[in-house]
Amino acid sequence: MSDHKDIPAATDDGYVHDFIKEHEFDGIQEFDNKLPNWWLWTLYGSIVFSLLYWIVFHTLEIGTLPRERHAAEMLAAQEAQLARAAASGLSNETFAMMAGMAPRVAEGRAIFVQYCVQCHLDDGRGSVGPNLTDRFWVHGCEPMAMYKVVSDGVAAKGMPAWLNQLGPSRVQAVVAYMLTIQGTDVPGKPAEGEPCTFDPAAP
Amino acid sequence: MTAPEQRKGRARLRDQRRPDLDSLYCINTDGSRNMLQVAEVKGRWTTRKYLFYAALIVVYLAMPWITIGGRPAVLVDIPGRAAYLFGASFTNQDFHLFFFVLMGLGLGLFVVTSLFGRVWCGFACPQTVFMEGVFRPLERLIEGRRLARIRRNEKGGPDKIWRKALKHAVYIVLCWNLAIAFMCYFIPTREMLHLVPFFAGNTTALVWSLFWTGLLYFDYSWFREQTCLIICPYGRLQATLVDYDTIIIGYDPQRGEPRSKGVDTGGDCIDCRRCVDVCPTGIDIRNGLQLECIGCTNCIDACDEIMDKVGKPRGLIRFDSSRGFETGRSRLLRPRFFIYGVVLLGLLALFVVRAAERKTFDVTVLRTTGLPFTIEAGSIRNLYTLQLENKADRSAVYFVAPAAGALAGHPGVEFIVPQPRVELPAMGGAPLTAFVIMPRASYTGAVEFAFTVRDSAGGESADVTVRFRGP
Repeated sequence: MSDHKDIPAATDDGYVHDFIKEHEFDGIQEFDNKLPNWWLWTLYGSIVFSLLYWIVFHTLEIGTLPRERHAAEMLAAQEAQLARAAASGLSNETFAMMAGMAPRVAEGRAIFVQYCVQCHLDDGRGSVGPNLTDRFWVHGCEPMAMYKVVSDGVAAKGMPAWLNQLGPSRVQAVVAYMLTIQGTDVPGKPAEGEPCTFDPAAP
Repeated sequence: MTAPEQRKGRARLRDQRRPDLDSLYCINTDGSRNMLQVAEVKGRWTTRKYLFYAALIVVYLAMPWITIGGRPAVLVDIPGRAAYLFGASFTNQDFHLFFFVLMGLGLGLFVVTSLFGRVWCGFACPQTVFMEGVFRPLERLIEGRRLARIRRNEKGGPDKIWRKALKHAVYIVLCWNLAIAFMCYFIPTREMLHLVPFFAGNTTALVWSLFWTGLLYFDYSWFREQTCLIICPYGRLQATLVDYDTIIIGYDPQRGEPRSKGVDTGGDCIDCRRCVDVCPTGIDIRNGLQLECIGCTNCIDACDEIMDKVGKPRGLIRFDSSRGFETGRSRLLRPRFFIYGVVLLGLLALFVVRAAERKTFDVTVLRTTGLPFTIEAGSIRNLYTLQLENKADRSAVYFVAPAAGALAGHPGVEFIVPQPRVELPAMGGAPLTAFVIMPRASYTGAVEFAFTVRDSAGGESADVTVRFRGP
C-alpha cells in the first residue's frame, strides 16, 4: 500500500485529520479515534443484559433455563407417547384377550417362526436371546412390557426394534403368541432375569 | 492540546473533516454516525454495473422458483437436516462436503482478488447489489440528488418529513419482500406461497421473517457501508491478497499531482473532489488503496466525466496495477495466481471425487459399549449394531448379509441377522442388529470380516469391515 505522505494529504489545507495521543514510545504514536457510538451502546447493552440475565435466572430464579425447558419438553414428549399408547387401546387385558383368540395366536406363531427363531429358537427356548418359556424375565413379564421390548428393541442386548418392520398389528400378534408359551418351561437356555411377579388375575 | 480540549473540539470540528487514511469517514470524531450523501454518477462502468446488478437480482429471486425433479433447485431444509442443490440431495451425513464448498468459495475469492482486487464487492456482493442497485436509487428518487438532499436535511420542515417517511415506508415493504424471498431458500417456495402474507399457524417462520425484515431494513436504511468496513472480514484480508501487480482501482499521482484548480497549471487533478463525493464508503481514492474501497468504480466514471469536461484524457482514476501506475507496464499472470489456482483446482477435484464417491446410503458399525464379546456354551458371541442411513430422496429396501467368504477359515461360524431386509423411508435411518457366533475351538485371535449392505433401489452395495473379538 502506498505511503500517503507521497501524496499531499488533506491535512495540508487546514482540515482536521485525526487525533494523536501525546505519548510516544520508540517513535510509535497512537491514534485516538473514538469507537462508533452504536458499537459502544451494543457493548453497554450486552453488559446490562448479562446482569439482568444473572439476576433473573440465577439470583431470583424466576426464569426457566434452557436446560430446564429441554427437560420439560422431553417430559411432555414422553407423556404424549404414553397418551398415544393409551389411545391405541392396548393394555395388559387386551393382550390377555388376544392370547385367547386362536387365529391371532396362530398369526403370531407364524411371525415368530419367521423372524424370532434365529435368536430365540422354535418354541422360544432361547439361544442368543433369552428363553421365553420360563418364569424369568429380563425386561418385565407384563404383556405391555413385552410389547414395548418387541416394538422398540433393546439395542444393548442386540434385540432389534420390530415395530417399523412388522407394524403394530403383527407385533401384537407376536406378543399374544408369547403369552401362550410363557411358563411352558421348554428345556433350553438357563433362566435369566427376575422371576415374574405379574398376576394377570389381579385388578 | 490536552485531552479535554480535544474532546470538546470534536463536535465542533465534525464538518471540517475530510477522508483520510487514519480514521473512518463514516464515523464522526465524536463517535456519531456520519451519514454519507453519495453523489450520483453516470458513465460506462456505472451502466455495466447496473446491468450486472439487474441480472444478479433476477438470479437471486428466481432461483427458489426453479424445481428439478419435483424438488426445489436450491433448498436448505434446516429442520430436516438436508440440502437440495440442482437435483442432488445432501443429508447431515454429507456435511463434510460443506468444507469443500466453503474453502472453494474462499479460494475462488482469493484467485479473483489476486487478479482484479475487490471486484466481488463492487459487482456481485448482495450487500452492494441491493444497496447500490435498489436502495440508493430509491433514495435518490424520493429525496432527490445529493445537493437537494443535503439542503433539505439542513432546512427540515414538512417537505423533509414526508419524503423521509415515504422512503422508510418503501424500504420496510421492500425489505419485508426481500426477507421472504430470502427465506424461500429455506422454506420451499410452494409452501411459502401458502404462508404469505401473515404466516398463519407458523410462528417460527413469522418471527424469522420479522427478524430478517428488521435486519435488512437496519442495514440498508442506516448501517450501510459500515457492514463492509466494520463487519465484513474480506476487506481486512485485502492487504494480504493483493500485490504490486493486482489490478485495482487507483489514482495516477504521476499524472494528477500537483493538484491544481487551474486547468493549465500543475497536474491533471483539478481537486474537484467529485471522486470523494461519489464514493459510497466515504474515502478519497487519491490516498491510495484502502480497505474501505469496495471497487464500485464510481470514482472512475466521476473522474472520466470531469476529464472530458476539462479536455484531458480519461483514466486519471482507472483500473490498473500498482506497477502499472508507476511504470506503465503490468503483468497479470504471476506465481500468486498459479498457487491460489492450483490449490483451488485441487480442492475442486477433491470435492468432485468425494461427491461422486457418495453413496445413496451410509452404514456405520457400532459395537455394543462395554460388551466386546460374550462366551456362552463353548462359543464366542459378538454383537454388532449396523446403523443404516438412507441418504436418497426416495424410500428403499436394503439387504444386509455377511460378505461372501466372511470368516470362511473358521469352521462352525454362525451369523444371525434378525432383520436381513429393511425398508427405510427417504432420508430415514434405522439400527440393525447382527450376531456372530464362533466355536471357541475355531477362534485363533481377533479377525476382520465384512458385512455387505445392498440397496435394491439403486443397485449399489457397500462392504463394512468389522472385527471379531474373543478372549
